[in-house]
Amino acid sequence: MEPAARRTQSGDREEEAGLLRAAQAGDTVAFGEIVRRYQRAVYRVAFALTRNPGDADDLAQETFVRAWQAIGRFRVGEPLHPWLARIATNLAFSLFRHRKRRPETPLEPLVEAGQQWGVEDDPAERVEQDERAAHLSAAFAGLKPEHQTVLALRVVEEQSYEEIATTLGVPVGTVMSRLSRARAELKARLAARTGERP
Amino acid sequence: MNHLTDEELGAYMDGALKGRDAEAAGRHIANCQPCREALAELAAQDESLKPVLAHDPGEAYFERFAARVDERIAAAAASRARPAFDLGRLFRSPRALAWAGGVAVVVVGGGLALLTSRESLLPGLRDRDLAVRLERSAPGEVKPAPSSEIQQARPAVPPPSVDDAEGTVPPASPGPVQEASGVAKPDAATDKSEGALDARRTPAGSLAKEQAGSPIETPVPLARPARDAKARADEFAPAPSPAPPTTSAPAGARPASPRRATEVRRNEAGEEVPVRPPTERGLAPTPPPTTGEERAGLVRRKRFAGLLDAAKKSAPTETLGAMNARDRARAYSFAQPPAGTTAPGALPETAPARSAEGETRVCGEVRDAADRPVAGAQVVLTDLGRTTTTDATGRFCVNAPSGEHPLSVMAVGYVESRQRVRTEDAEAGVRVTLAAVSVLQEKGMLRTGRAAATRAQVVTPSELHDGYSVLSDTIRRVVREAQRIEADAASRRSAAHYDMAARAWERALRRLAEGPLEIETRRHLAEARYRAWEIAPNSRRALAAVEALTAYAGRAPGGPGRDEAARRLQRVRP
Repeated sequence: MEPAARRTQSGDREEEAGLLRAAQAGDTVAFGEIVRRYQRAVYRVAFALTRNPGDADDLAQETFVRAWQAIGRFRVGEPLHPWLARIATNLAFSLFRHRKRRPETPLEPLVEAGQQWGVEDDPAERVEQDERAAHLSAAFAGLKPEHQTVLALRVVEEQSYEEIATTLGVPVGTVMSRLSRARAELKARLAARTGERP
Repeated sequence: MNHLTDEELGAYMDGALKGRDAEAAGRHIANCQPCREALAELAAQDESLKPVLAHDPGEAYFERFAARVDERIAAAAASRARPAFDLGRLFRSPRALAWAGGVAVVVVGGGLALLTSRESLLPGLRDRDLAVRLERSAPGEVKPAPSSEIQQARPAVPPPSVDDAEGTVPPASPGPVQEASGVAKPDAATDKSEGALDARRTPAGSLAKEQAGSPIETPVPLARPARDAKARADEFAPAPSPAPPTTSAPAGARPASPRRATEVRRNEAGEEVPVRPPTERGLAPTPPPTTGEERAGLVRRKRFAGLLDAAKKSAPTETLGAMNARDRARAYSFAQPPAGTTAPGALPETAPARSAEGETRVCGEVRDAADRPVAGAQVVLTDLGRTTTTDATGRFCVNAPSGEHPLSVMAVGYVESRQRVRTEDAEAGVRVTLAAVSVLQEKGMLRTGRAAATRAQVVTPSELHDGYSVLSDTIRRVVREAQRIEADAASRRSAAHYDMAARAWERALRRLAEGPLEIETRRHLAEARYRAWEIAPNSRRALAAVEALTAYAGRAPGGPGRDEAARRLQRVRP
């Protein structure tokens, strides 16, 4: 990376530390700026874990509400993203548990959601977003919550194993094995759905 | 050497193997065909998962996001502060209503139990056998429930707290009641505590527990809180201290927070728009199309809903008001499914929402010189800024007010075609023939040489911003957004983020008529596509990069920028 970019990043970090301290002192405007900086990242995690715009919105919003409520306990200087991602994944876990007891159909079928939101993207992606995407989505939804989470953090957020370990509070070795099992399980489920041989 | 395990393969792919391990794995993979295949398969699976897990709700959504968080924090704080039991609120939420029903059952049951226990003071009824005999002898009579069962049920349901009334405590009113009575324990004395525990195991209870003890409540991943951290939190957070179990908000569950008490719909941008009651729907919404032809159009539109939405958004007449009108129109179409429509509820997002009257659907076909359909061509009504893309058969449709409009058709590898279409003549269908770009074969285009030494001239965001300042707010907003995402991508050096940046630039591009800014935007698009490919190459990114680079190079005036694009094109092309 160019030195200029690094400088900006460290400058950003200092600025962010200032914002965090202000937010810890009760400054809602500073917290609003933090929200603006991380809203996309948090939404990405939230959507990956819920695959439903309505739930993702709710989860992303609630993540920041919880973050605000616990901001006093955040140690300034640590990276904020894993902290927020951890809140989001924990919230998603309880959503999963909740759904397990009371299965709820999503507001709109997933394929519909894909068409509705994703088509704007490039044509190459549009081709992918058909039947296979529906199968993949369903196969992914069948994975265990911890497998979904680890895949989401890796594939969508492109977090390193260390970052995932931090986010989930587990050792790196666990991340490695969990990710491997998640991928194998996804493959098997996908094969079962599409009738392909695994 | 043994084959790599799945775990090692995955770690190798993710760049998580270090030093010697990585080298050894790399060497093995280089000589092992099955391992390479497994690796490619693994990568392909991850790649295809990405679009399933990713979603861009659009810029408008994020513009409102922080404000909504703010509202939600305020609502959360207010709900904790509210002291009294608000009966009115209770009946506005179905969940809370269900809770109230459950509570009522328990209260009635408790009353019965009380009565029974009083009756059981009578010496004769105290004897169970006698009571049973009495019951058998008079089966028709109302039977007082055995007291022990009722008492079990009674404590099992937590008393309604303030938050229950708001519906912030998760649902499942029947849950606790059923479960509680299901856990019949012979000893009535211990039932009270047992029942309460069981209630905690119900959905509501489990969430409450999480709130109280799990990492959700104390999300402190890295940092152990400083000793006074909690004190600080208590001091500054609007909602002090860990909430008691009953006030737990349901984690990811859609909480029926106060704001949600009114019916709310989400528009395309992901914003919440309150649905007005029927009496307020003063403006008669355009009725849904009923003719077969229009229905067919609907189906097409459903398939390309996103594209059309994008096109609609780009229409200059589109305002927030218009969007609200559209939402109202949709709400209307839900409420009153028109006769003759096959499945009114099936197409919620595409329910007709023509904001402007007198618009005609202009349809046509784009073909190349050899009369083959051109898929994915961009069709723009340049005066209106409306854009669509041709489908696999080269066909397109776009709405336009009556009159004559300039129509521009662009596709990668073809010369842009411009013509004027009259809506009156459009019924027959517009036919556009595209000629292949000849510049691609020219020597200068693909020349490298000196260009390789000259870095592409970089336009700073502020310069670009200035350039765009002559344009409308909408476009500038989209451009700013793209710049932000691109800067984010650059700082993270993440291919996925460059993908997002590229999509943002594409959105900007759709709103631009041709000209220097359009070319500049194409340059950014090509840059983002190329970087994404460079960081994490795959066939999809290569295709997209070639497409974007070709489109830019085909339009850019000669210079370092175009030379650089040509150079990159050569690299990306297999």
